[in-house]
Order: sequence, then structure tokens, then C-alpha cells
Amino acid sequence: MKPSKVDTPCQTASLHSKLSRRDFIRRTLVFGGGMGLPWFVPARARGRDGAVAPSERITVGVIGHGPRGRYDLSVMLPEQDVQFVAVCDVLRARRDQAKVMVDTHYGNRDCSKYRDMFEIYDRPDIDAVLIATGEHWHALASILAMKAGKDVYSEKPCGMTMREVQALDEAVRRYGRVFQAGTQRRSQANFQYAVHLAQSGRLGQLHTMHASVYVPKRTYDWLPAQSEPSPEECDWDRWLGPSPWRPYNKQYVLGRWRGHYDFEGAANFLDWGAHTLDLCQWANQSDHTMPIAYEAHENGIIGRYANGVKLVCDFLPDPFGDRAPQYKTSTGTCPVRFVGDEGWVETGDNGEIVLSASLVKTQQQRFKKPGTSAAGHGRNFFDCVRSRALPVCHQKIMRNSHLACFAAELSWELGRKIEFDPVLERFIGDDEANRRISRATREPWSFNV
Amino acid sequence: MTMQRTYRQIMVGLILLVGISALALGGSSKTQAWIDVLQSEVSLFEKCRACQQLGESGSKEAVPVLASLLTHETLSVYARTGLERIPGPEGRTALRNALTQIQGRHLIGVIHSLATLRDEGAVEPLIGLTHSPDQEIVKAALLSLGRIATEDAMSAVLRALAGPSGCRSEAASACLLAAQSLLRAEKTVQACAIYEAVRKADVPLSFRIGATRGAILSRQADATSFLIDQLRSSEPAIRNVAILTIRQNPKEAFASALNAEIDQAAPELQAQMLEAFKDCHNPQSLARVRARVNTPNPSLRLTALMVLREIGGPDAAPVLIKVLQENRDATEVSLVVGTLEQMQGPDIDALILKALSLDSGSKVRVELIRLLGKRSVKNATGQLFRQAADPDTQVCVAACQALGRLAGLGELPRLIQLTGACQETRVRDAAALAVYEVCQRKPKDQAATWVFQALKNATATSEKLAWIRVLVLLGHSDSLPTIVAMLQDPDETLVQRTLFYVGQWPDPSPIQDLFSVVESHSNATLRTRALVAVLQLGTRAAEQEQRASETLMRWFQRASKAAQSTREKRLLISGLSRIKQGDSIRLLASYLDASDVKMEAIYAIVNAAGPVTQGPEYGVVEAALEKIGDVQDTGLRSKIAALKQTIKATKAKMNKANDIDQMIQKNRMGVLMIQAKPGATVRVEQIKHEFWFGAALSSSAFNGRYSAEDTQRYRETFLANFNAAVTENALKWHAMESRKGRVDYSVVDAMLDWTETHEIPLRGHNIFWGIPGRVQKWLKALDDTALREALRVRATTIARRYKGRFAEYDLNNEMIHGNYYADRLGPDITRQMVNWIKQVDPKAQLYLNDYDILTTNRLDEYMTHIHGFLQTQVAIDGVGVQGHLHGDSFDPVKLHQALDTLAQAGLPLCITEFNFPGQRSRVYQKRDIKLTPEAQQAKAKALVEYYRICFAHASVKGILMWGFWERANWIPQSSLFLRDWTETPAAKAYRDLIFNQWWTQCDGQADEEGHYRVSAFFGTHRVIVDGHEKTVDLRKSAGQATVSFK
Repeated sequence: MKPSKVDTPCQTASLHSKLSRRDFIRRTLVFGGGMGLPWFVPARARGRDGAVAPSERITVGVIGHGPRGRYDLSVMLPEQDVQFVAVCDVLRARRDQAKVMVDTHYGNRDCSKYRDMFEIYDRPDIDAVLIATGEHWHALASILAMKAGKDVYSEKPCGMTMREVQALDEAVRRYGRVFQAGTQRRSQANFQYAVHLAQSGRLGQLHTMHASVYVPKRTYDWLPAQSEPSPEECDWDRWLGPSPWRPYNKQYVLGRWRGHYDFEGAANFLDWGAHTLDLCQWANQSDHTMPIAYEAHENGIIGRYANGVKLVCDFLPDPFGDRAPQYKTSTGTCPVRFVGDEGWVETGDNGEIVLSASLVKTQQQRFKKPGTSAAGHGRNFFDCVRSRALPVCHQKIMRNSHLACFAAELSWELGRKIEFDPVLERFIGDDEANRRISRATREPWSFNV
Repeated sequence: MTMQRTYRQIMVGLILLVGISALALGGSSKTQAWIDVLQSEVSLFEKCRACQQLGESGSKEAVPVLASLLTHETLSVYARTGLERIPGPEGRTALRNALTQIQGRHLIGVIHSLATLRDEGAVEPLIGLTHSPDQEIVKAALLSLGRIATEDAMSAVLRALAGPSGCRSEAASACLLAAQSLLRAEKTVQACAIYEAVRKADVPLSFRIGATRGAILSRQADATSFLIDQLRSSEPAIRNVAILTIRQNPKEAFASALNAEIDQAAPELQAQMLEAFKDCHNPQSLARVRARVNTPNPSLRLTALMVLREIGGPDAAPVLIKVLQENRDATEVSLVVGTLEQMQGPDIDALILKALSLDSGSKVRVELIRLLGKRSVKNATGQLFRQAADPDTQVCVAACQALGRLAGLGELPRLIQLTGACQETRVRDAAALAVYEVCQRKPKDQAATWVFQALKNATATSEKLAWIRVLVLLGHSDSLPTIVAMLQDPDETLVQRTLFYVGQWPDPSPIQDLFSVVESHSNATLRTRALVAVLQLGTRAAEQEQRASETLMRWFQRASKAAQSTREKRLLISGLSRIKQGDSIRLLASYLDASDVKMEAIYAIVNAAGPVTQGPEYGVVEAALEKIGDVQDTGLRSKIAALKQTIKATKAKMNKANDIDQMIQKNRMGVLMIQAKPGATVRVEQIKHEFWFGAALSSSAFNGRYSAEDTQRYRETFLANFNAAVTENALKWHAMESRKGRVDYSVVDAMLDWTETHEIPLRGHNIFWGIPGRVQKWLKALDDTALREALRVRATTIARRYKGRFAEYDLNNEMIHGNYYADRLGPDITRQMVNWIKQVDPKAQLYLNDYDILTTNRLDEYMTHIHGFLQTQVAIDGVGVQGHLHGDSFDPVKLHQALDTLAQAGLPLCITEFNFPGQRSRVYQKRDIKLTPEAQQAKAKALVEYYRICFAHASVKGILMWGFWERANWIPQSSLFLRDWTETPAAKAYRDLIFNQWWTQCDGQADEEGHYRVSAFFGTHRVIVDGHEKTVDLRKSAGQATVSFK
């Protein structure tokens, strides 16, 4: 179908908006303010003009203050009904920095800083924690926090192995806590809209979904050993945590742990996959399950759901540059595309919605804000801490999308097709794959808590 | 030492070599190889790797060596991974044995590994370890027992739970682990017992929270009363977990518990419970929510309203309406209105209507009236008319606005009457606008006629003006003379306001009447007002291209004579800025001398100059910019600089355009050498072009849809004007096989027979068209295998049936805009399509074909697309580019650029589907618009320019129009021939190009050596020498041809 004329000016002298009631409802409820109305009565509605009494604030501790932790803290600090009271990092420089950030925001010096996360866990006055450590700590730190009675917002990926994310999900329920995975794109309007198009049938019968991911890479190598600093400067033993020991090198703690087998569970696949594959799960309305078959190819990994829908994880050689031909570079990072038999939609972190020609006229939307902010996602978490409702990326959603990611990556690792039973959560007739579901943890750490 | 080190390195190397070699052998050989590494003196890193490998793929032979590493400072964790993963009992046996052999944290690791394996055989030794003097061992053992969760294991754990405080927390944790497994296995009684034990134990709150949740879920008969007890707990955390459990595991019993408890709960908890109703409620819950809509606590009220919005359903409507009637604060009202607006059903409408009829408060009635409008309650009009007569202005205005949405044409007379009777201005305006809205509904003309009659009947100025306003908004042309006549009315107020409204007429029809006022009215104020109206109309006409530029310029030039004040000049300049022509720039430049509007003139010139700088009038802009000189504003300065750059480029391109004739000569002409007797008379007449000047063939001319007369005329006109053809729709798969298995070849066969008879090369458009909306439903219903097979059958059938007959095919139309087949079957499907066809018809010429390329909008993408095939050796033979996507004009610079870029692919280029005006023109999809004579001339001019550029380019092999007859053209206005076969100026211009300017016909004499040499267009020529005739083909590939008459 050829495109219709572009740049058509609005020529009608209309006295009323032509927005249909259905459109208005759709836009207000689904896309207005991220997820529609807040879960709780906003403070201003109580007549306090935004100020919330200290006694009514949610108190939060931060564990991990690397680049991502810094970002998360920056978008969560402005929440007026939340008070950050403690920060923790195994690196002295980072915990000092974190404290300065918090104190500057509040205009006091009340924020505590710790090297040991258990000092946060042991504080009965702390309601919730933000976990932004390295990936190898996400699951266990979250479980320990919940064991100590804290609600948890954990950055993704939420675990290093299938067993870890299963244990995490079970712990949330076991301890009766509220958990939010940091897959914040579910709280972004452009991604919500794309999913809405897929779910509502506007694309026709959904048959294929594309999730952009890095080209998997993994190394087992150790960086050259360096002289280990004092624990006060960098608690290397605690940084390693449940991961096997290896000699200290500064680069690990400054962020170059990515790609290392002992610190990143799925060969870099989950870095984007935790977002993009998760969005595909959502679009296919399969949050309760995952694909049943996976097969890696040179350019990606193809999964297939029991309902026949195909999931294509495209390897992007240049994820931050030219993403063509798989995706339109203008849509930004973490692009996803949902394809039905009557059209398709693509979107990414730039907020742009790209549609097939047949849908442009009726379904085009423009979203001004880019799709990476975690502010709305954090807000949703805090609302649920109060209301005890399930957040948008709760433990069950996290579990299934992460399991799918691990299974997909495993097909690449093994270089062959694998089949997965979503109910038993085991690979079918495949001992070699099933052996890789879990790894032992370094003593004394354990997931039996 | 050096010798030893060397020896060690050699051994390590050998061992590694053995290991690497063994990898190729697989299985137990691999295991042995890694065992050998572990038992050698290699680096710690290499041993770690060996351990990892054994964990991933080692067999039971590795168990002993791994077991021996369970106390290794670094390797123990890898060893345990291996022992956990290696299939068979050997691993767990080794771990179990280690329980009595190792100490300290390594023992802790082993204990946890046994928990991971849920090894029941380890229960007894683990129970023993719960008596260890090392508290950490005890804790680990308890947790492990909790994970394994046999009866004996739990007995030990429960004893520890009741025991000394040191390990009670781990015991509690172990209990929760066990109980969760039991609950999952639906052993609710056992699970419940454990949860109770933890709840009652002296353990930290976090465990009791988990136990409370578990207890709630595992209770059977007394679930509700238990839950209520938790909701009554003095501990907020217990209440919170009760709420969380309810929300995450909704069931009827929980809803009942909430219902029972909410009335006694403290306000904070009530708010949580109200929220919880969103996830877990029953009909009785709604009564509780509704009751709280009226609570004195504002926070609770708001929460209740929000919950009602989500779960209330239509039954909540009476409550919500009552809230509206109680004059609550703005937030609550807004929430209620929004909720009522969403509710479906006529019962809600009836409730709102009833409330409106009973209520006396004006604020409330306004809200109710607005709701009726938003809900489109059509049977509310009677009530609304009554409200529109209310003494309160706000109520009247709201009622009129709602009537605008709801009133039908049958109620228009009453609405007109209401408008006429209004005394209050705001109400009258609202009523008039309501009339306008109603008039928008079909049939529009009837409604407007009534308004017109109302205008004629009106006596009061205010009423007349109300009607004029409506008629202007409607653009009711019949009333225009009457409206314009009012410009002569003695009532100055009427004339002033009429002028104001006439200035908003949707098209410039009244402009001449306005000019009359401008140029001859005695009242200076009215002259000024009329001039403003003229300028408004002119500006709108320019913006929306309602008239040809020449007409617009005449108006603005005429207006410029009257524009005296700064405001008038500014309006004039603003209007001129929208006319992007040389004359406009000239007139604007004249205002550069007026100090009061100089800056406006500069901005307007810069705004309008863009397109002018790219055409032949660039000199006008150049002169204007010189007059402007230097400017201070940096933004303006950079725009002026950009314009100067464009002028420079245009000069260069114009020079190049003058080269077009030279390029045509170079690329389209060769040398025809005739050998005859010296002095022989020679005549050369071209018969046919080699270059394709073609057109699409309509299926209707080959399937009997046209009359015999039209069919004959169609075919004759085609033969008279074109030398190449393309199937417009006949070959498209959805046209040939709309239903699976039923293929209609008749039209294609008929076209091929006809074109072959007349030696016209025929393009086959298209074998596939992967735009999703063009793919038949029956194809989409196939699974991948069947779809692939269907594609193969289609490709091979066409290739076989029409082997050697189609000159070329469009393989898969418009791939960069959509490719359903690739989406389904992967990107390699195009290669497969090509292979299927070429296997049957190796000489088939397969083209790509796409659009928006010659505008350069998708040029880069298309080039990437083409190169992708070339680089992967997909045998594409040519590149097709459609010529639809320009508008009422095209950009020659971009056309040049596109052709030059496409030529880099090294494949023949074909302009496959040309229309002018194009798909972005204002006539597209408006079949009732006829081109004015000026537009026809512009079309002819554009066609000539377009064809010249394409014909001059060496890589282009042909241009085909997508229709030439008005009756058979998807953009009828782009046709060469009107419906009655009248030639348009474009047809004349086209024939002049093809058969005159680019046509060889000459006479002469052979020279003394008997040679006659002529520069001729490539194609077929008839050569006549002294009455003898021969036909010769002059081909571009050869460049020259010789024919001898000796």
C-alpha cells in the first residue's frame, strides 16, 4: 500500500476536538502518566501541597552506587514520600559519593554509609532497598534483604542463572515482600503503546517479535592480578560475594566485570535481553510462560512459543551505532518490533513509533520523552510498597522473562536447538542443558536462606 | 632451577595438548583430559577452567578428583558445581561423605550443595551437624534440612526453632523453605503446622511475616477468621502482609474477610483495604466501597472513588451522581465525572438525565449537562433545550454546547429559534456554535439552507451576525452574495463585524467584493477592515494553495497599493511569505526600504526564498539578499548564508541542466552510416525508439470491461504513443489467485498475445508483493512450510508458463516498505524466489521495484537494499524505481541525485510507474478536481523536464507511465488523454519530445565516396536510397550501425 500524502495540514474549522471517546479513554488510562492513575492517593490530594510527613515516608537504603545505582538514585530522590537514609558500597569512594548525593538533596548530613549491606538489613527503620550492585549479587542481595523484612527494587538482570531467578521469585513469596525488577521500559509510554498495538489486534494476528540484543560474548580469562587494597578502600572479598574467588583487579570493580563468566550469567545476552525479550513476552501476553524452543543462528536466536508466535533475538554488531538493517537506527537503543499479519510496529529508547504503511494513518503516536527513564518505574514500586499491590515488573514476570533469556542464551552456548518445558522449568530430554541451570556459590554464601 | 622450569613448561604444554586433542574425541576422554590438568602443576587459573569444564560436561570419573578439591581454598566452589551437576549418585555420595571429613566454611559449602540436590540421604548426618559446636555449621545444616524437608528433617528443624536463640532465625528460615515446598505440593496441613510454629516462635518479625502469609494461604476451613485476625493485628507489618496476600492471591474467602473487617479498621488500614478491593472483591465489597464515598475522611473518600472507578461498574452510578450533587471539591468532581463518562449503558444515561431534571444547583447541572454531551446521550436533547432557557448563563452555555454534540438535523429549527431568541451574548455565541456543529452533519446543505433562511429573516444586528458567523464557518456559498450585500448596510457595526467574518471565509471567493470596499468605500475604518479581510483570505489561500500563484500575486499586488499602516503592511508581508515565487520576492523586496517593516520583509524573504533559489528565478532572491546586506541576528545570518549556498548550487545545476541536451546526444544517439552510390538520394526515417517510452496496460482493456469502442481506441492510442508496456494489475498474485487454487491467467495471456503481436516488450508487474495488506488471507493462514511451498509454486508456475515472453519481471514489489514473506520466512526468501524462477527460466530478468526513491527520501535505504543483494550474489538483473511520490512539482536536483546514486549499483534502471501530478499532490484521491488550464500547462512543462532528465541519464533504460487515459488511471489528473480522448497539453508535449525533438528524420545525398553519415537516436530506422528501402537497428550497445546499398 502506497503511503498517503504527508504533511497534510489540518484544514477543518472544528469547534471540538475530534478525539473519540474511546481514544480519550485509551490515552488517559493507558498512556497518561505511565500506567494511568496512581495506586494510592497522591499526597497533594490530601491537601499537603506535596510535602509528606517524615513518619509517613518510605525509608530506603541503597546497595551499590556504580553508574546505574547513581542514575536510579537520581530519579528516585525527588519522590517526596520517600526518604533515602542509608547507602552501602564495597568501594569507599562510591559510598562517600552516594552519601554526598543524598545529603545534598536533603540539605542535611543524616544519610548513613556502610560497607556491609547487613548493616542496612539489620536496621528495622528501613522499609525498602534499591539493589544496584554488580549482576552477580542481585539475586542473593535481594533475597537477604527480603529475609530481613525489606521490600526490594533490584536492577536487572536479577540473577546469574535460572536457579537464582527461581530462588528469587520463591523468596519474594516466601517472605511476603514487594519486588520490582528494574526493567523500566514497561513503564515507558512508547513501549506501552507498541505492546498495546500488539495485544489489541491492531497488527492483526501477531506472528513474529524481534528483540534486539548484544552479540553474546563471554570470557573465562582473569584480568592480571593487582595488589589488593585494604577492605576499607575496597572490600574485594565482599565484592566477589557468591562468585568464585579470583585475584583482584581494579577494572572489575569499576565496571569491567561484564562478559566475565563468573560475574555475568548469560554472556551479555541479558543486558538488553532482560528488557527487549521481556517486552516481547508482554506483547505476546505470555508473562505466565515463555518460549518452548530455541535455536541460535549466526545472526540471532529464534524462539518459538507454544501458540506459534516466533521470537527473534537479533544480534546487533553495533548496538549503539547503525542498527540497520534489522532495526531503524532512529528509534534508538533497545529496539523491539512486533509483526502481525496486518502490520508491524517498531520502537526503541528514542520514543519514536515506526509503523508499517498500512497503520501510519490511523495509529501513529508521538511520544516526547525518551524511553529510558526509571522515574515512573520507581514511582510504581513505591506506590506498591504502600498499597502492597503487585508492581508492573513483579517477581513472576521477572522469573519467566529471565528464564527465557537464559534458555535463549544457552541455545547459543550449546550451538544447537533446545526445548524447554515452562511448567517443569527443565530442558526436555537434555541433560547437558539442564546441568547449566545452576552453579554452586562460594562459601559461606548460599541461596538456601 | 631454569631446567626444572623448562621441564615443567614442557609437561604443561604436553598435558594441555593432550587435553585439547582429547576434546576432539569427546566424552570420557574429555573428562580424563581435564582431570589430568587438575592433577598437574599448572596455574590456578587453568585448574579453575578445568573444574568449570568438568562441571559443564564432565562424567562420573571426575567425581573423585573433584571431591578431593572440596577443601581447596579457591577450587572448592567449582568442585561443588561439578559434583552437583554430574549425573548419577556419585556426586552426592561424595558430598555426603565429605560431611564427616571436612570442617569450617568448606563444610558449609558442602552442606548447601546437598540442599541444592535435596539429598534425602544426607538428612541423618545433617541432623547430626545441628549439634555441632560451630554455630555457622548448625545454621547451614538447619537451612539445608529445611530445603530437603523430609519428616525427620523437619522434626530436627522444629526442635531447633524451639531451642536456644542462636539458631532460631535459621530454623525459622528453614521452616519457611520447607513449608513453601509443602504448600506447592498441596500438602497444606503439614505446611500450615509449620507456619504456625514459626508464627508463635520467638523469631524476628520478617519470619513471622512470611509465616503469616503462608498460614493465610494454607488454612482451609478457618481461613477467613484467621485472615481477619491478621487484619486486626497490632503490628502494621502483619496487617501489611495480610493485605499483600489478599491482593496477590484473590479468592472469595479473602474478599469476605475484607468485607467483614473494613468497617472496624482504622482509617489508614481502611485505605489499604479499599485499594485491595481492586484485586479481590465480591458484590458485597462494592457496598463497602460505595459507603466510603461519603465518609468524612477526604483521603478515604478519594480512595473509595478511585476504587469505584476501577471496579464499580454501572451499579456505582447512583452513588457517583449523588457525589456530584453534593458539591464536592474539584478533585472528587473530576474523578466522578471521568468515571461516569466511561460507564457504558443507557441506564446510566437515564440516571444522569433524571438527576438533571431534579437538581436545582447550577454548578451541578452544568456538570450533568456536560456529561450528557460527552456520553452522547441523544435522547437528552429535550431536557437540554429546557436547560438552555435557564436564567443561569453557565447552564445555558453548557446546554448549548451539549446540544451542539447531540442535536439532530430535525432539531435544528428549534436550535435556530433558540439562537435567535438569545439576549445574552455568551449564550447566543454558544447557541450559534451549536447550530454550526449540527449543520456539520449530513446532509450539510439542507441544514445550511435553514440557517441562511434564518439570516434572511433576522432583523436584529446581533442575530444577523450570529448567522453570518455560522454560514462563514460552513462556507455556505449560496449565502455569500447575501452576506456580501451586507457590506453595503448603513449599520456600521454590522458591516465591521461582517467584514471580520468574511475575512474568515474558507476560500477566497469574497475577495473581489472585499476589494470593492477597500478601493471605494467612503468610511476609512471600513476600508481598513476590508483590507485586513482581503489579506487574511489571501494568506489562507496562499497557505492552502487554493489558487494559482499568479492569481494570488495579483491580489497581493492590488492589496499592496492600499496597505498604508504598519499593521496592514505586516499582514501583507506575512501573506507574501507564503508564496514561494519570484514575484513574491520582488514585491517583498520593495518593503526593504520601509523602516517600519524592514525586518518583517527580511524574514518573509528568507522564509519564501527557499524553493525559489532552486529554480530559474534564483536571481530574484540573489538581488533581494544583496539588498538586505548584513544582518545582526545569527540565526538569520546562517539562513541567509544557506540560501546563498543553494543559489550557488542552483547555478551549477542550471548549467548542468543546459548540459542535458549534450547528455542526450551523448547517451541516446549514435552514428548511422549508409553506403550507397555516390550522389544517391538518402532518406532516414525513424520507426521506433530503443529507449522504452511506455505505459501501464489496464486489465479492463483486455477482459471485456470496456466497450468495444473504448477498447479499440485504448489499444490504438497506446500503439500510437508507446513502445513498451507493463501489466498494471493483471499479473499481481492477488488479482490472479484471490482464492487458493483458482488461478485466472486469461488477462495476462491476452495482454501477452497482444503485445507480442505488436512487438511491444511487456514488463510483468509483479510476481510477488510482500506488503502485508497485499498478501491474500489464504496465504497468511498457511504455516511456514506451506507458505514457502506456495511461493515456490507461484514462482515456478509463472516462470514456466511465460518462459521467454515477459521482457522482465518485478520480483517482489516494494520490499523496503514491507516484506511479509521475509518477516515470516527469513531474509533469505528473496534468494529462494530468484532461484526458483531462474531454475525454470534462466533468462528471466528480475527487477527490484520500490517508491519514494527518486525523491531521495528512501534512496539510502534502497541502495543498502540493492547492495545487500549484490554482495550476497542474489541474481537481481535491474533496479526499478516508481515515479509517483512527488507532488504538484518535483525537485530536479533530487531527481538527478537519485539517478546518479542508483547508477552506482551498475544495473539497468527503469522508471517503472510515472505519474504527474504525483501522489503527494493536492489532487491525489480527489477525482472530482479538474486541473485548471494553468495547472495543465505546468503539468506539461514538468513532464518534459522529468523526461529530459531521465532520458539524458545513461543508466536509465526506460520510463513507463502508470496510466495515460483519464478513465484508466489511479491519478486521473496525471493522464495524457481525458475521458473523451481529448489530448491534454501534456500529451502534446510528450509527443513533441518523443516523435519530434528526439526523433530522427532527415534527407540527404551520399558523398563522393558513397557515404552518408547521420547522427541518429538509438532505435529502428528505415533507410531509403533511390527508392530502395532497408531497416536497420541502431543499438546503444554498439553505438553505431552501417547499412549498405551497394
